[in-house]
Amino acid sequence: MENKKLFADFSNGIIDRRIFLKGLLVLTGSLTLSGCLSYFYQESGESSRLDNLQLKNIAAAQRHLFPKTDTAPGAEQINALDYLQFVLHDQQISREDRDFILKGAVWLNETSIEDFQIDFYLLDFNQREKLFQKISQKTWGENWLSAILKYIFEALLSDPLYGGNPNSIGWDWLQFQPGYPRPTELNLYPKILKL
Amino acid sequence: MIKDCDVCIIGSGAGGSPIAFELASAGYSVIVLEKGPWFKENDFAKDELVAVRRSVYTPSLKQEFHVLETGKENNWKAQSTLDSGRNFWNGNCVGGSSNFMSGYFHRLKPEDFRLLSEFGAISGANIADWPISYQDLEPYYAKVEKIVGISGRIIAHPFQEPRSTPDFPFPPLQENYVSKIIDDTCAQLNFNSVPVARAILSQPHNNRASCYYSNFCGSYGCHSGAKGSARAALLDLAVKTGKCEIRPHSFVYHLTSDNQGKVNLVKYYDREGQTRQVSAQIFVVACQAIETSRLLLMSTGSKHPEGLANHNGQLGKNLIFSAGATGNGTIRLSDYPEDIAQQLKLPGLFVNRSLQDWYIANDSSLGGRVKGGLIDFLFDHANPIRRANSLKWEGDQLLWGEALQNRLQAGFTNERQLNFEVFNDWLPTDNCFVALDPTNKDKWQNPVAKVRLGYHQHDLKIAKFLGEKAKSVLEAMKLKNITTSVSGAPPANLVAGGCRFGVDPDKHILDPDCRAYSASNLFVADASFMPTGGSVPYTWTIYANSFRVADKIKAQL
Repeated sequence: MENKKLFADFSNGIIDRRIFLKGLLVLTGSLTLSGCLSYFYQESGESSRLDNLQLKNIAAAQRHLFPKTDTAPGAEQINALDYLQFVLHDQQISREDRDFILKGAVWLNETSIEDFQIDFYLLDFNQREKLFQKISQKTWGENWLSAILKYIFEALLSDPLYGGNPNSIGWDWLQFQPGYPRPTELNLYPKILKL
Repeated sequence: MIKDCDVCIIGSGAGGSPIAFELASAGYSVIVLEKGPWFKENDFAKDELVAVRRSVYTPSLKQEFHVLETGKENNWKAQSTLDSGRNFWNGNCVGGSSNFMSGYFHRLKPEDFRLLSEFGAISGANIADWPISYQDLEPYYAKVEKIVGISGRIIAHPFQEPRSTPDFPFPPLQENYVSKIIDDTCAQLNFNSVPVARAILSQPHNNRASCYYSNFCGSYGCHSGAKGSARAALLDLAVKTGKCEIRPHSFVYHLTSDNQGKVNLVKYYDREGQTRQVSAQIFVVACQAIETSRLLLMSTGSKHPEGLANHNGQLGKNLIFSAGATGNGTIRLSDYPEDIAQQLKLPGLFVNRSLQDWYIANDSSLGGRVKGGLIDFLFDHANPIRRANSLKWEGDQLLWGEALQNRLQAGFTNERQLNFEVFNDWLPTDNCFVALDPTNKDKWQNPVAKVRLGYHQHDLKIAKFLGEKAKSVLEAMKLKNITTSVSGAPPANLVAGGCRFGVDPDKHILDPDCRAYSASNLFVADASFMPTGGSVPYTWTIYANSFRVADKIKAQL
């Protein structure tokens, strides 16, 4: 119930994005997710980490959102999962935003178990599609899928030095000409913040 | 007592840098205090992650933020940008946000200096004439063309402002074929398509290379120095005189004043958080309008109990932005013959076209002769990640899988987005101002700026009118998926006012020389002085006025 109210308040503009994301974390306690939070943080309490199940589920979600085809590279070819882990360790990105990625993966799997009685990564194509169609109608689901896509695009189209877009596979696919000079190890994010 | 320097300038952007350049060149000692780092040209790569997607050139919202008030009369809702995620900062580094501008440079028109007497009062708006005229500023506009470097070409049209020189000192930049299509279309519509001048060098100048058409200009630092940022065009030269010292990572939190009310010290935190200070004969504040008002409000003293220079309670009032509209249309390359499509696809070349036919509009739908504005045309910035994100939506439906990949492929390989931007006056009102927030503090425990963002309905009426004119051009060009948007939401990078200049000490913070009425050795040199903003981006006017103020300071030293 509280969950629904939180999403409704966010959708209606009654609460802002940050309170919404914080609220999601508070609600964690009322969901059947005991122990999950311990996976999210290193001892520093800052970095957000994936456990094995989340890793498998997010990888499967990325593959479904961005599959390899005859013409397009897929999430695996662009190193989307490694790139996402770089994002999850980036403390310049708000902790709420990073935690939302992890929390969404937990809810995704909950929905999978509820509807199909198995973990998300074990679903076949049609089951995954059905589940994505379902959650994309919910505020959290649409926001989560959109966030995962956002970082897939960063992996696809940022400079290969960041770990995605290996050998410019994304740029080549979309016939995109990068700008010059390209970044080097010396002025790469987040190192550039130290200048 | 020996001072640390003749002139201490707080803020190194377009407002402070002409003064640093002019004073140092004249042999005066200058210290420039800049809150942000000092990036050099080699630090500026074409990296979308750095320039656009992460807060590299602006402060972390966790450490520094604003409180923004939006709403309507008697119903204002305050929200911190830390909570909303809305970043209201511009470039914080040596050279300021001029490093990251696109450099669309327009002069104000003579009528902009006398908006009240030319067009009359509007209920609910605090419109005022400037205490100087276009003719007073014209020599300084011309000076900016030469020193900062402006490329373009003059053509005759009904709203061409008077000039002391026949043309720009640098020839126009190379243009994409789309500029010809815009020209031809406007001719059919009986509109005057006007070339847009750019603060980007088309030829080398003062040890700066010319533009190499990288295709990554707006939001990106310039690697060649062609862009006329305050850093590349002015500060590098000022430092070479040996009379100008720039201190990056220096956040000024207080200007102290003596029992006469004159400023005697600037106090700031260095990179390690240590308190340091600078004494000078003359102080110049140029931190961009919001932060300038905030710093002065924080700088109370025995003669300035309500904030430095705030003798009449007007400090922070009549903040203005640029009102306007935006829109775009899709150029589908497969709609054109192959040779034309290839030309349209060429990256890097500029559009550089504007419409000024309604800078003063005379239309029955607007109630007769009124102040209108400017329309600029431009290609969508090249940022591929942002572009991909915009393509993942079909209406309000999220795309994924092969449908998404097909959309991306079509969007990147067969389409270009042509945008327009409308600039019209943001009328000054009692509902747009800067104050100190009573509860929220930044990382140094200083009160953050609270900004009320009220706008006048008249602004939207003019923006809508101009947006329809721009849309008619895109329609006549037969572009696809044409959209327009008019909003009262202010652009954070086009901000002015808060320290109005004028002839009446009871009403104005600054005199016509931009000197504080109640602190005779304090000048404000960013856009804070502007009582009205005109209908163009502000940067050229900020540069020009700062060169003018430099002459006033030289006369006072």
